[in-house]
Amino acid sequence: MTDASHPVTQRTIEAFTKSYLRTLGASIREKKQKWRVQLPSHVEFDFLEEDTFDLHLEVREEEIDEGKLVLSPDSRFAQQLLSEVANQFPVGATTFTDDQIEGEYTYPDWIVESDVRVESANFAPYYDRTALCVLVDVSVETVSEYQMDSLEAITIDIDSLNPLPGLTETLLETMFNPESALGESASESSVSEAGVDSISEVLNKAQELALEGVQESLQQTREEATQAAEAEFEEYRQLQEQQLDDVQDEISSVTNRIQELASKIDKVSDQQDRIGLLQQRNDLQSEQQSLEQERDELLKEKRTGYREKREKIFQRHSLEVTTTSVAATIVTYERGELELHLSYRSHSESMRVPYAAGEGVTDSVDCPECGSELNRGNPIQLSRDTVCCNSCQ
Amino acid sequence: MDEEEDLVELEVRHDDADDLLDSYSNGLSDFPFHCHTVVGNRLLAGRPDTELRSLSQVDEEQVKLLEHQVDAAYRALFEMDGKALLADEVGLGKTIEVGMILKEMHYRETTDSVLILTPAQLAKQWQAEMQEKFGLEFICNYDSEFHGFDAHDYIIASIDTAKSDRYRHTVLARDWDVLVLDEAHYVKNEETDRYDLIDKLTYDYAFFLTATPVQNQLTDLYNIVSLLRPGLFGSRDTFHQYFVNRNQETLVNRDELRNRLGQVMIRNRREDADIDFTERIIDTRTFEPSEAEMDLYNAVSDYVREAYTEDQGQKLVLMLLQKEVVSSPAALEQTIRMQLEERNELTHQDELQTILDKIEAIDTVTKQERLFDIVEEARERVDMGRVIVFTQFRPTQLQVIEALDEQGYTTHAFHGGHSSQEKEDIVEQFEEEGGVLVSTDAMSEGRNLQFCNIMVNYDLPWNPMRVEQRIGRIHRIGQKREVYIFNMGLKNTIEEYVLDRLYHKIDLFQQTVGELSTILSRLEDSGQSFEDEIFERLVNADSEIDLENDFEEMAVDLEEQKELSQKVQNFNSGVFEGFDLGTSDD
Repeated sequence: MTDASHPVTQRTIEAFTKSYLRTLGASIREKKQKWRVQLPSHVEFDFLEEDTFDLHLEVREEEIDEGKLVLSPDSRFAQQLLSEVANQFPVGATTFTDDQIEGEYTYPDWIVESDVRVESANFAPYYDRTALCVLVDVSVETVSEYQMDSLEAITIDIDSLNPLPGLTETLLETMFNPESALGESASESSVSEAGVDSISEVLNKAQELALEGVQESLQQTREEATQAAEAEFEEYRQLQEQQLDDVQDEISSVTNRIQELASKIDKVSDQQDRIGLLQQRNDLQSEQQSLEQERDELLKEKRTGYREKREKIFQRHSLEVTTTSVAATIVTYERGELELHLSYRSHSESMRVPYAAGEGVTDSVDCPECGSELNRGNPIQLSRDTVCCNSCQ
Repeated sequence: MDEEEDLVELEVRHDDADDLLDSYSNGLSDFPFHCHTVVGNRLLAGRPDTELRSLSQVDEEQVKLLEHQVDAAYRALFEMDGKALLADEVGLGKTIEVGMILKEMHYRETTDSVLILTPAQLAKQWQAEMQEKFGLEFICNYDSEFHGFDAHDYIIASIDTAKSDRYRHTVLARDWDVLVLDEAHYVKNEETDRYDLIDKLTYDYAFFLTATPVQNQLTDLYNIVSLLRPGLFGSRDTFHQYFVNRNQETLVNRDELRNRLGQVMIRNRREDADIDFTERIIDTRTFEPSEAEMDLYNAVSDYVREAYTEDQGQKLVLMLLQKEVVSSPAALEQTIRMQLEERNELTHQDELQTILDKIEAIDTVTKQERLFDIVEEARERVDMGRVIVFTQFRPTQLQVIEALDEQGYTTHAFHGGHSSQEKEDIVEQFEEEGGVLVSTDAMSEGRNLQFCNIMVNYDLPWNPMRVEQRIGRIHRIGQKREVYIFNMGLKNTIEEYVLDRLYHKIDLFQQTVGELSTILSRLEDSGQSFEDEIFERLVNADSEIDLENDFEEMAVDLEEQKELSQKVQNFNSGVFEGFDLGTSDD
């Protein structure tokens, strides 16, 4: 899984806009800090009526008159353009072949971290395979402030369903190089046919992997949302306890007043006054009853640890995670073997490893001497013209 | 209950991908168009990158950022594409602006290699400021750990070291991510080696600093700006014909020029910036040395003069002796004893022994006695009697502390040998307990002591920047009370010359931050080093009168530089009058 989001700097947004407008066939006349853009007649943007317009660069939107279009990382025009393009052409295809790599092979960690030098390398492609590179949007909704949105890129081989992280990196880099024209190095010849069902299966798999890819930050968001829920619950609990204290106080006060009335009633001789006092006592007694009822409910809730309320609060703070595949690139790539000619001081040796164009070494490779797996911590060694590893040296 | 159950629920929904499958069934998009959709999604997911994200990490205890500085850093980074001429008027904190820019770039991991070129005398100051205020560790070409321009990634160096035959090749061989050029008017002349070096350097981002982009003529501006943004003004002739009037003194077609300059230059004016310093009260006290002290001073001065005439290789040690004799007998004694121990075949053994005898003959140390007066006044008038006493030498520090302890004062010692935690603890104790903090110049790097407003220069460094650094510990933005600076000096000694003739001439103790560096860099531009200059005059004078005349001459020179510096500043104010290149109003 690769985080595919890319910061939007002035330079990036300018390169992207220029490249996109030119791909559409628009003409751009650059004059100082302004581009005059003329769209071809068959092209129109949803968010713009004019087919000829000026784009102002390197100014803040609020610095120029209303209605003028500004191209800057957070300008309205930039956001509208990006939103429109993001939905426009969601599925495409490209190929990765030995010819495109031009001898620029990706060597595994167990060579890069070793003292061994690669004298030469030669890739022998045996067959074409198809993979799908999917951009998956993972959005997390929560009532607390910890909103999270991320874009993950995953490439999966359509047959084996194995992820190809190296190919993801290579593709993202090829498709996005603001310094050069976008996508120039890729071509769409010889796109393999793949059934809708297998594409659908890969998309599902990609969404699951994307979710795995954000597990760590998701867990953190979940913990933060839990803390927010705990805080809300604690506030509620304290409020209830306070209320309980208040009710207790009120009950004592009413009870006192009832007792006072009782002694008054005993002492009063006038019938009328007596009835009045008895009436007052009745009112206070019903008030006492209702307060006691209230207290009992509060106590009952307290005894259960306010479980119901807690569940309610926690439910409200629960996270809703949605994964959506937003774009997919079908990649035809070559698999085969890479023949490596290695040397170390006076020793030299050759070896073959499973390799895929754009991805690098595809399977784990074991030391031919001791059988241990070669990796960053156990790099390859050469001695007396045999290939071995750190562990068996 | 396990931990998982304690957390809020997590509901996951995988949206079905019908839209994508429909698109697939309806036919693939052309790859170049599809690429734009992929990139469009990536940019939508990334946030607009126009905030100074590292701002929250700047330690407000160490640096108070002002609005115009934040604005300048923002514009240089995001509106000028990382190539800017920071031309604020003197004293507005251009170094802070660069610090913020570098911190932000560091935060975004866009600065693998940074080269800061400064005048020689300011290099260490830059290093301390970057470390202290922004936590950025640079190596300086004067550090013993410096192993060349290809051996480190964050380097502060004097521009003349960088252009020297020894280093030029390695400086130019690298692709620097960021180049910072302090006092950029150094490269005003396209026929100099300095200009040539900057012209040939390879870098992605560059920030040039100067308060006076125009030194002598308006072409200076053309040269500096063209290094940053080649072609912004067209050819030199075009610039002349279009923007400069015939008598070379004013700029014409000002609107157009302002528009173009606005793309690369930021200039804040003092009257617009919100900077408010409290008053500085200077009290310089010179004391008549005792007979024994004067006797010692003369003996040391004679020895230094004689030894230097014989062997100029000993310059540093001799300079040290000359400084120590006015600091304290204890400081002098330590060096003399080391000399005697280290160099058995020394030809001057007798003289050194005589000096030792004269040190022993001193009963009372005049400065020490007089220090009690200042400390006592402080104890009566100031909250908790907090006073900072600065000295250059450890033995002096020890002696002063001992004397103060004997008198019953609360004392604190601060020197470079402490760990950073210890240093923090010492400053904290000083704040809580009050009393006297006796510090070596190690304090100059990295501590704010705004809670104290009385400082004593027990002895005076011959490098004026050091003095400014000392003052800067207590007199900075955030100090709410007036600041008292006491200078102590012995009459008829080098101290009196440096104090009266030189420092007071350039009004050193009243210079606002930044003005001094302008004067000093002018001085350096004419090929002189302040400390050497003082020493040479001292040892080469044939008589007292000669010495006086020599210092007078140096003072006149300094004054001239100060006036020139002021003149150039005024000239620039005039040139850019009415140009709004500073903080925007919104």
